[in-house]
Order: sequence, then structure tokens, then C-alpha cells
Amino acid sequence: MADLPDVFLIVLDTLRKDFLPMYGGSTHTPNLEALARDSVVFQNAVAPAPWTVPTHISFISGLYAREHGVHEDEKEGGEHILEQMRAYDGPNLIERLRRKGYNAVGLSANQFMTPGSGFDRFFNVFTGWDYAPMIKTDTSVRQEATKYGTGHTEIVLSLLRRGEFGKLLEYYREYRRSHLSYQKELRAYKERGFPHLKAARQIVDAFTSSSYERPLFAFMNFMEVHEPVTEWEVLQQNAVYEILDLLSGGHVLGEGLMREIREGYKRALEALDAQIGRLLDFLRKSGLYERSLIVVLSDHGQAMKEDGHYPYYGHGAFLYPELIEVPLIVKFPGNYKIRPNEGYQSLTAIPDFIEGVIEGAMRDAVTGEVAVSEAFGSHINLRRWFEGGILPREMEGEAQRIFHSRKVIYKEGYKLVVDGTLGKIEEFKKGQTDVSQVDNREKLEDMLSELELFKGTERFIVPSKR
Amino acid sequence: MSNEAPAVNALSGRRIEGGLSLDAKVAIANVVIGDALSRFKRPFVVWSGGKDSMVVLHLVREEVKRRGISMPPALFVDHGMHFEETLQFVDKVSKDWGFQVVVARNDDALSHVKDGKICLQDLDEDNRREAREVGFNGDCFDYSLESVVGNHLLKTVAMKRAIRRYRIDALFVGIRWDENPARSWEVFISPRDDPPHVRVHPILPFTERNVWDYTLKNKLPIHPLYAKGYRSLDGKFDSKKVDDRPAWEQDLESTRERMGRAQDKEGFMETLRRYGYM
Repeated sequence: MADLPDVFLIVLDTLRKDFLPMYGGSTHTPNLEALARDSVVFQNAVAPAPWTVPTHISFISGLYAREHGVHEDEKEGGEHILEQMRAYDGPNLIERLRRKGYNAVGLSANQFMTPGSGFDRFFNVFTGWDYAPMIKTDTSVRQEATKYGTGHTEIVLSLLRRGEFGKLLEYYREYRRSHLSYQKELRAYKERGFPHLKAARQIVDAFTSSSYERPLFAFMNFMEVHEPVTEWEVLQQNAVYEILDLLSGGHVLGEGLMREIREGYKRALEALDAQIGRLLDFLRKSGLYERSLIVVLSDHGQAMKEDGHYPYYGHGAFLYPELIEVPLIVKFPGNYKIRPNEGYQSLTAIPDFIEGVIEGAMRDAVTGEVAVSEAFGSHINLRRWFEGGILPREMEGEAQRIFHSRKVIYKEGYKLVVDGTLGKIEEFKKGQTDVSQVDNREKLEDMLSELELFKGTERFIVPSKR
Repeated sequence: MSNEAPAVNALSGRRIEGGLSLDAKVAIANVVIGDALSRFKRPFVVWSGGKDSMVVLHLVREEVKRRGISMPPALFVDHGMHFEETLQFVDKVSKDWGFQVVVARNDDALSHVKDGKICLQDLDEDNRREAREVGFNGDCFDYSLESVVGNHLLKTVAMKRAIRRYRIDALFVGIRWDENPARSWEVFISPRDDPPHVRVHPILPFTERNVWDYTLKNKLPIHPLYAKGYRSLDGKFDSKKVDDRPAWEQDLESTRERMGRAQDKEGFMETLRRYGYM
């Protein structure tokens, strides 16, 4: 067993590839670049879903979301995702590695990949960090208040009219408490600057100060570039604003703020790079670097109101390149280099690929002729927000657009996105350019056939070829 | 002594369901098909244009109509030796019935046929490994379906690649208990692990006679070579006819279906089955 390589599966959560220099970006990431020099940088990696949970289950199962069953759907959003994850008992890379003698260790700052989430049960040891510098609010008081109105004025007036003075006092106290904590948090940022690190330092500290039995399979999830990446988002409780922005067609987050967010994302990536550097230095000094298999990738990207796309900030729902085209950097044991095949790297190939390398097959088992990605609407259950009175009814029309089932297929340089709720082609591109459906009829028909085969018995309308 | 057919013919080793009516067998087939359609996400129907897979295709088609779902695609294994009539038949029926045909081909093996032979040194790693796995120790083999290695690479491996490529989780296959001892103990839904999927066998209890009765009763399209006397169709070099009467008019009960084909040889089918053939 001593000759089995250690395996690192490092998820840089929410990292889109175009910010990295290896993919044409301009962020200063010397440590990832040094790793890339010893690695194979795959150019066409596609995440199987635009958000954390379905993709992470793909990493261990090798299956797409509808195949492994852990995903949001049009009805419920992601409400039951943790139950689904706890129930998952399909193909499992980590289980197979443990049977081979691997010690499986998980270190994560992601709120879905925590001890008790269901993901942790695959590992020998799993540690989670609560990264968010979030202000805790008494949600029961807030939830109660939403019954009386959608804004402060409406709530206060309604409570006065009903003579609910006890509730009014409770609401005032809650409002004042959270307002004061905002102010406190804001002062802290003013003094010390926005903390671009979330828990990467703690994860690297924990890893480098522990002594693990080998061979080791280490899964790490770093949340640095996941929102919030600016103080504004933290103070405004980003989730609510994200949804509002998503539904209002992007009227909430202005261009100035988006510039700040893009800048914050870059700063967060730089801060993360420094911590990755500490981790890699540790491996080099301990003599573990050379012989390890190190896979650095992302579970999905981030939409930042790109031109021509539905203008929202966040991830989920759509299948734009900034959401699913992700980095994939692989350092083979012995820093072995291969030349990637033509095609796409669906991240569903990760389990087979890792097992192949462990068995000594130094070849490109990750590239295939096609890659697919699927989304089933938002992972937030918008219906609940409407029913809770938090979101205005006028936005329900827009919400319909988000609660759609979508699939994308990449093949031979072309990309086709279909909205299977409406049976409509949303995107047909060669490379990054829209192309005519009429002039590329044969190609389009072939891609529609592929999608038809992929959807199988699922209720998903593929537009007719004729 | 009774004149009933024994459940398993002691001489041939074949299992014959001789008691059930055809209607009852069709009802069983519908249960099997319905169960598979409701549990699997990406079913395909293995279809050669031959009489058995034609019956399965029709049964599946009827069941999806009843359920109001779309017809699963057909998987056609192209070993490069099909009769021209087969290719035309497949094309016509799929167009008339409106379903998608996916071709499973071992391109690597078919592109390396030289002077009627295929040599391992020319093939990719996966094909070389597959050839060794079925016990082939030579350097080259004849381009034919008559050997274990030829049948395995040109048909089984082609199918395995298609299963992986299209992420198929269930394959409907028209094998029957009475065909061959190797198929006598097959079950209705049979899990396979290389690659992981299930084989769904709706017409196991059908006899050759049942297949023709069902075909004629439901007016299914019939591959033209059956009318010319062929009883069993596959590669054009190894499917031989022994009678000029249409297949359905021949004495099916006391002559052998695969007479003259290597698949009739003892143990051949069992070996193929073990390595993933139908």
C-alpha cells in the first residue's frame, strides 16, 4: 500500500476559469501558476451543474445530477437537498478508495459540506469551518413579522393597527440589535479592511499540523471566492439581495457595485492563492508533493451580470459559460505530463480518472467527446419567499423564468442550451459566438439527438428537429 | 408417458416454456417492460432488424404508447458484415415508426481490417485488453463473427462502448430460453457490472414459433431474408439458409434455428455470454 499515491481533491468553490492566468485571466496567482507548471491544465472542463451539491455528488459518484438524484427541482428548489444527500447510496469513489486502504479526510468551509450534512459520512475524518462573517439575526422574529407586511413601515403600521404592542416591541428590539451589529461589523471592516479570507488559513493550518495515516485521500473545499466578497454584500445580507437582483432583472446591484464585486472576487482569489501556496510548500517540504496526485478544480463558476445574459449575480438556474466552464488542473504523481485528448472534461469523469491514476494509468481518462450540464431552477425555493410575503407578487413572473429545467451539451466545438420546460433553444454557439441554426442545421440536429438520448425517460422537452 | 414437452430438453439442454399461451407470454413481457421503463432512466432497445428484436421493439412501442412517454432509442450493433437488406430494413422501419437508431461500432477494430484479418498490435489498449480477457493469445484473428474473439470485439465490445458513451442503464434484449442452453437460465432483469447496467429480457418464454405467431398476428415488418428461407440472421458470411420456404413455414420444432452458425457450437454461446454478450 505504501506505493499508492496520496490524492488531493481541492475544490476552489465558485471559481470561474477566466479569472486565472492559465485560462487568460489577470489575477495574481503565483502559487496556482507554479502548480500549473508541474501539471496538465485542461482547457475544456465543464461542471455537471451550476451549484455546489449536485456537482459534489458527481465528483464522488461519476454520475450526472438526474442520475445520482441529489439535486434541486422545479417544484422544491433545493429544499430537500440534505435529505437527498444523506440518502445517497450509489457509486462512491471515497468508499472504493477506503477499501483500497486510503485514509479519507475532508476539510471544508462549505455550508453544505459540513459534519452532519451527509457528505461527511463518506470520510474517516471530516472537519468543517463556519466561514461566514455573517450577522446572525433572530429569524423567528423576522419570519413572524413577515406576516404583517413586506417592509418596516408596513409591518410597524400593521402591528399598531392591530394593537400588537408586545410583538411591536419584540420587532423593534430585533431591528435595533441587528442594526447595531451591522454598524459594529462595518466599523471592523473600516478599521481592518474586508476579510478576503474565509477559512482557508484554518483549513491549511489544520492540515499542516496534523499527522495522517497514508495513503491519504484529502478533500478540501475552499470558499474564498464564493459570495460575499464585498462588505456591502455582508451588510445587506447578500442572499436576499441576490434573489431580489435575480428577480428584478438586475436592477438592485448597480454597475458600480458589480465592479466592486468583481474586484472583491479577484482579491479573494489572491488571498486564496497564498493559502494554496502554504499548502503546497508544506507538501514540498514533507516530500509528499512529487508523488501525489493533486486535482484542483471548481464545482461551478459565478455569474456577474455578463453582457447578453440574464443579469444576475450568483449561481444556479442558468448554464452560461461563467457558471459551468471551470478550471481543471491536474498534477500527476511524478509530475508526469500527458497531452489532453480533443474534447471536453466532464467533471463526472473525476472518480474514474482518479482511480485510473492510482492504478498506474497515466492517461487522459477525463476527456470525452461530449459534456453535459443540467440545472433545474434555482436552489432557493422562491415559492416559499413569495408565500412568506418577503418577495412582492409582481416578481412572480420573473421567478417563472428561473424555475425551468435546462440542459447544455458541448460537442465538437459547439454548445447547445435547451430550456426543457418550454422546449426552446436558449443558446447555440460555436466557440463563444452565436451561430445560425439554419446554416448549421446538420450540427444542430446532431446536438438535439444527443440531448434526446441524454434526457432518456425524463420529462424534458427537446425541440423538434424538423 | 405424457406428450408434453419437458421444461428442459435433456438432449439439447434448452428450456422450453410449452404450456403458457402466447397471450399470457405477452402479458408477462408487458409487466417486465413496464417495470424497466418505470425504474430506469436511459433504456435502449438492442435491435438487429431480426425477428426477435423486432418483437421486443414492438412490445416496447406499445407499452410506451400506453404510458404516454417517448419511445426509447434502438441500439444497432454494426459489425461491418450486415446484409444490405438489413441496413435498408433498419433504415425504413426506424423512419416509419419514428424512433432514433444509435449505431454501436468498434471503429478501432473495423478500421484495422487488413486482408481479412485484424491484428492486436494495431488496436487500442482497451481492445487489446478485451481480446486477452476472452483468452485470445495470438497476434491476429480472422475478420469474422465465427470466433469468440471476433464476436467479442466486433459486437460485445462495440456494445459496451455504446453503453458507456450514452450512459445507458437498461438494455432491452430479445433473447429466448429455447434458443440455446447458455440462455436457458437467463432471468427477466439481469444486472451486469462491466459496465454497470441491466439487461431486460421481456420475451424469454417465447418459442421461435411464438415469435412468428406474434409477428404475423400484429403484422410487424419482416426482414425480407426470412421470406427467402433464412431462420436466423446476423453477419452475411455466417447466416446460411437450409430451406427455401419462408422461415415461418418451416418445421421449427425439430430442426435447429442456428444451423450452420458458429453460435450453434457447444459452449460457444456460454463463453460469449460470460464476457458480456447477449
